[in-house]
Amino acid sequence: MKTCIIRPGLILLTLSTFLEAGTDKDGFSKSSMPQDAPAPWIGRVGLGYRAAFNISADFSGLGGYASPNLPGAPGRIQGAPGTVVRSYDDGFIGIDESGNANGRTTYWGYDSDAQVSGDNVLMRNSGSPGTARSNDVDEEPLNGLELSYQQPLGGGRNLRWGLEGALNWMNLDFDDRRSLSGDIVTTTHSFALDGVLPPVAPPIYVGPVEGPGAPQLSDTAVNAGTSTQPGAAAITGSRSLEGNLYGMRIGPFLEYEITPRVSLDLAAGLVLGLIDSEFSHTDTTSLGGLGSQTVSADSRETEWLCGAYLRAQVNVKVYENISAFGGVEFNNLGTFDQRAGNAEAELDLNGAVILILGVGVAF
Amino acid sequence: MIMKPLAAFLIAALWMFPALATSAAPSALVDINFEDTAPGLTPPVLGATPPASLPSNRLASIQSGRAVVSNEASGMNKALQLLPEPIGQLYSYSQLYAFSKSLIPVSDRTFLFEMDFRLSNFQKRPAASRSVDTFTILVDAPTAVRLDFTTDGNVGRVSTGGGIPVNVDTFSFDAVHHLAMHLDLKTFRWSVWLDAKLIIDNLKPSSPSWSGELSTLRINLEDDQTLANMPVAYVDNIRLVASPEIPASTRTSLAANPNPAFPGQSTTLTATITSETGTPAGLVEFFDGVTSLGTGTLDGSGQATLMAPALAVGTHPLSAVYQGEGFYLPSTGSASQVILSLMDPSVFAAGVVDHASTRFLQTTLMRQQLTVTNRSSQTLEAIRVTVHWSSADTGARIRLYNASGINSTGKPYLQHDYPVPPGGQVTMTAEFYSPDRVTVPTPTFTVELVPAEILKIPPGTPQAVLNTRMLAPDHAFLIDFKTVKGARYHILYSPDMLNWSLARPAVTGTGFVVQWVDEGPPKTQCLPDPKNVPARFYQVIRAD
Repeated sequence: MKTCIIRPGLILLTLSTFLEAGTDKDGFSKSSMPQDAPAPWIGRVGLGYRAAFNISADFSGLGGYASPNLPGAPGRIQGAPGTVVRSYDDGFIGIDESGNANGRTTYWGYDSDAQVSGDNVLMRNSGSPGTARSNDVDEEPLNGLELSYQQPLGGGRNLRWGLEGALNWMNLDFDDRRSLSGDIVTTTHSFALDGVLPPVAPPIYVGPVEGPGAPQLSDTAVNAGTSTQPGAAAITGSRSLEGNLYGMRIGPFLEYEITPRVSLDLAAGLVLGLIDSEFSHTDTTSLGGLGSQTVSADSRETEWLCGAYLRAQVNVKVYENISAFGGVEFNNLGTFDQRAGNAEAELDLNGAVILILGVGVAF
Repeated sequence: MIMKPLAAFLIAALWMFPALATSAAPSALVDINFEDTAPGLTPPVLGATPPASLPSNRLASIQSGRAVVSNEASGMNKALQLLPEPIGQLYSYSQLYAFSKSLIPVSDRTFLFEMDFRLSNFQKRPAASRSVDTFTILVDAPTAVRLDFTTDGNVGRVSTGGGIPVNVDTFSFDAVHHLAMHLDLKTFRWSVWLDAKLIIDNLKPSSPSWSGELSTLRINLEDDQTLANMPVAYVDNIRLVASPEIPASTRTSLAANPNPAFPGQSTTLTATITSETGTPAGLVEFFDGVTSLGTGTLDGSGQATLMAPALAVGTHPLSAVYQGEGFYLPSTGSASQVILSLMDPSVFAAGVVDHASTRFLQTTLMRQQLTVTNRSSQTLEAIRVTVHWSSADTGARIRLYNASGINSTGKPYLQHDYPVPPGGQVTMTAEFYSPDRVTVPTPTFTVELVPAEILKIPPGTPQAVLNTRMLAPDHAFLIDFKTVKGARYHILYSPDMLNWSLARPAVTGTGFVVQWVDEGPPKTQCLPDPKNVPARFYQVIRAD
C-alpha cells in the first residue's frame, strides 16, 4: 500500500499560478497561438461516468477455531489439588490430593480407551489456525463519477497540449459469501501408564481427586507430534468490503484534433486516492466432532493512495463548445489493506481499467 | 421220688462211656470255673440253682494281676439226664451229655471254651411214629461273652447203634444263639455229637472291686416238642468268677488337643488310664505345674476329659493324676501343652509395604501382606487382624481401605472368615491409602481368633460388569463397572456361577467407571489362581 501525502489543494494552487503566468486573459499562450487556429478554448470542464474494471478484493486470515482447551507445553505443570492443569479435546490432567506425588495423578480422565497406545494414553488438542483465504472477489463494474478540467497550454492547429486535473469518486462494494475450508492442526501429548490397565471407556472416565482404588497416570506430557489435516475445517460466512474511493489526478495531456469535431486526448499523470472503507466479516469454522466457532470482526479505515494513470479519450463536439467524450483510463493506485480482527481484506487497485463516458464544456 | 434211680443210672451210663472222659484240663489264665452242681459226676438237676459260693478248690492264686485257675474238672463233667417221661413207652429215655473239654486262652481276655454235646437215644424199641423234630440249644450269654458255635464238620456226626441212619435235616445257629437240629428219631439207639466252641471274649471285670461273679453263661438245651409230658432239657450255668488278690498297676497317659494351641482356642485334656487287667475307674485330677485345673471322672473306656481354662502363652507342664480305685493303683501321666502367641513370628508375619509397584500405580493403594499360619492342631474358624496406627500414620491421615470392619475401640481390622486347617496359612492383603502417596504406613498388628461372620448377600440391583482382566503376576482380577456417585456396590464372586459369595467391603460409586481388584483375602476367600481357582465370575449389585 502506497500512501501519498501531497495535498490536493497545494497542487491546484501551484497549477493555478503556473497557468496565470503563461496565458493571456483568454487562456491561450500568447506566443504560440497560430493565426489560423480554430476558436481557441481556454479550458474544458468535463463530467463523466466511470466504470471500473479489474479491481478485486482478497480476503485472508479467515476462519479459525481456537481450542477452548489448555493442553500446555510438554513437561509437567504444577497446580493446586483439584485443579485441571491440562485439558484436551479427549481428556484432561489434573492435580490429585497428593499434589501429583512422584509425577503421577489419579485425577485424570479420557473419553475412550481407544486413546491407549501401547503403554501410554494419548490426548489430543485440535484447532484451526484461521488462515483461510477468499481471493479475487470482484463486483464489476465499480461505478463512479469524475469532474475534470483541462487547461490547454500550447500547441498548434491540430495539436494541443496542456494540463488536466480531475476529482472523482468511486463506490466500493465487495461482498463474499463463499464457503471456505481451513486446516485442522492437532497436537498430541502422550502420558505414560507404566503398566497400569486404564479403565474402560466410553463412557468417559474421570478419576477422583482423592484416589484410593483409582489408577494413576503420569502427569508429564510428552510431545507426540503435531499433524495437519488440510482443508478439514469447514468455514461458512460472509465478508464484505464497502466504501468510497475519492480520487484526484493531474497530469499533462495531448490533444490531437482529428477532425473539427473529433479530437483524441492522451493523458498521463499522477493520481491520488482517498479510500474510506468498512471491512466486516463473520465466519463460522466447524471441526467435525469438536464443534464450531464463529469469528466476527469489522473495521473502518481511511487511507491515501497514490499512483499513476494513463488515459485515452475521444472527444466529439456535439454542439459548439459542448462535446461528449469517452475513453479508457488505466489506473494504478496500488493495493489497499484493511484488517478486522485477524482477517484482512486486500483491495487490488493495480491495473484498474476505467471506462469513461461524459460530457465536456469548453470555454 | 424217681431221682435216685435216675442218678444211679446216669452214673452207670457215664461209666459206660469211658471215652468221654477227658484228660486233665489245662490251666487257664482266667478265673473261670465250671461249677458243677456237685463234685464228681453227679449231673445237675434241671432247674438247680448254682451254689452261691465257689468251692475253694476252684480258685487258684492270682499272680501278677492275672487270675489263674486250674480247671480241675476232668473227664465228663457234665451229664444231664433227659428226664424220661415214658409216655406211651415210646422210648425208654434219652440222654444228653455235655462235655467240657478244654478252656484255651487266646489272649489275656479271650478264651476258647470247647464243649461237646452228645444226644443219645436209648429207646429200647423203635418208635412207630415218634420223632423228635428239633433240639434247640439256647445260650443266654452275658454281653462280655461272644459265642461262636463251630462244628468242625462234626455236626451231624451221627452214630446209629442200630445201624439205622439218622437224618440231620438242618443245622443252624442264629444270631440269638439258637442252635437247632432236626433229627429223625424214628429209630432207636442213636446218638448225635455236636462240637461247640464258645468264644469268651473281652473278659473284663464288671466292677472295680474285681471280685465275685463276673457273669454267667447259661446254656440251655431243649427239645421243642410241645408235648408237655416230654420235657427234654439241659441247663447249665457257667459262671465266670474272679477274685482279686494283687492290685493292678495302671498307666496314665495325657493328651491335650489342640496342641499347640492359640489363646482363645478351647483345649481339651484327655487322660487315659489303662491296666492290663480290666478298665480302671475313678477320678483323674489335672494339673498345670502345681496348679490344679480340675478333676474328671473316668468313663467306661478309662478316659477322663477336662476342658482346660484359658492358658497363658507359653509351655505348660501338664499332668494327670489318677488317684486309683479298687485294686487299680494310682498313676500319673504328663504332657506338655504349648500355647503359641498369635504374634509369634512363626505364626504371624507382616511383609513389606509395597508402595511403588505397578499394582500400587493401578490402585493407588499401598499393600502389605499379612500371613497367618495355623500352627495349632485345630482348624481355625476365623482370623482377625487388627490394625494399630502409628502416630506418623495418623498424622499422614493413612487409612485402611479394605477394612472388614471397625472394632469396639474404633480400630479397623481385616477378617478372614474361612477355615484354616492345621498347618495351613492364609495371607491377607492390607490396602492402605496414603493421601500424600509418600508416607508409607508403619502400623502394628494384633491377631485374634474370632467366630466366623456369616456374610449374607444383601438385596440390590445387578449392574453390568464392563470388563474383567487379570493382573500379573499374582493373578488378581480387575473388574470395571460403572457407578453412580455415592451409591454402594456389593461385589459377588463365584467359581461356577451357581454359588455366590460376598466380597467385602462394599465400594462407593464415584459417578464414573470404578476399578476393583480381587486381591484375595480378606476381600474374597482366596486369590484367584489358575491352579486352585481356574475361573472366577463376578457380579456387581447396587445396594437398594
